Amino acid sequence: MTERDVDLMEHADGEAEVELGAEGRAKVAAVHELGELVRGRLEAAADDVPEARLARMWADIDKQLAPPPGPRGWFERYRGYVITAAVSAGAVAALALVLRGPAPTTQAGAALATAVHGPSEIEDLDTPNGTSTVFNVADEDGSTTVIWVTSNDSVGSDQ
Amino acid sequence: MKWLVLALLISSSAFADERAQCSYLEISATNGKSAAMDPELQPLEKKLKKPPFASWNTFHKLSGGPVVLDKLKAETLKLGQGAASLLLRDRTDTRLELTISIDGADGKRVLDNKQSVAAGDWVVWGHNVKDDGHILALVCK
Repeated sequence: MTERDVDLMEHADGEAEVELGAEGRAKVAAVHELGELVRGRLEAAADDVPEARLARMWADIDKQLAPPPGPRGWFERYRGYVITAAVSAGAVAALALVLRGPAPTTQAGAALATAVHGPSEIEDLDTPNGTSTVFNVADEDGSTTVIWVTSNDSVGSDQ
Repeated sequence: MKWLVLALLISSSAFADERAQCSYLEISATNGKSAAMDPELQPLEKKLKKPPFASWNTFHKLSGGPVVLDKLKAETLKLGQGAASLLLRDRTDTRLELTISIDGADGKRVLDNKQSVAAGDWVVWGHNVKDDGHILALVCK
């Protein structure tokens, strides 16, 4: 019986059981020997590569597979988004400062309760139909200037 | 970016120097059987118990509210009894130069006044109306 080379190779690889003749056993032995030679050559070639070079290769591969760990890595990855967000927030804050306008006052005096107290200076006072008196009304909130006008009519009526 | 924000802040501050945020209260002072004071007059409550206001025991708010004064632009207040004209002549962060005119309910001029007041301090003007009092109080900042 003559074995086909394909059957012999499958037998050599352990993929099929073939009854071997003398020629077949010789070919299988040769395939095994050839395989050993190839594996030995590849292992020798791998041993020739310096360890440091292999380490660099793996490091390069790692960099391509995953981002750098930690906050700095996160920042590096999202730097564009962070800068855009910061610029946008600044612009919005600036616009708010410009557009905020006056604070609404719901009740007279309610929003103006805190005062920087100091005496008023009366620069000019004219009361064409009466006489004026200036009071300084002081309390815990400070002093308040009061200008009181007594009309000539009321003075006349009292007399 | 920092320069932009700084410029906006400066322009905002300059804009604020051209106006004043004010509130006013128009008050009637009378004598009643028992003392009474409207709750809206609470900011002036202590002052209204002292002379010259101590002559009355009942105080009612006739009108009031916020008013914005733009520099050198007169604002007219239509009061419950008469009218008033307010003018912001100038201001700093702490003081305001005001001109005020008050007319009585009969249309006669009660007073013309120029005054430099501290920001946040109440200023009060008043006059007799027969036996009662008519008061205008103003605070600006």
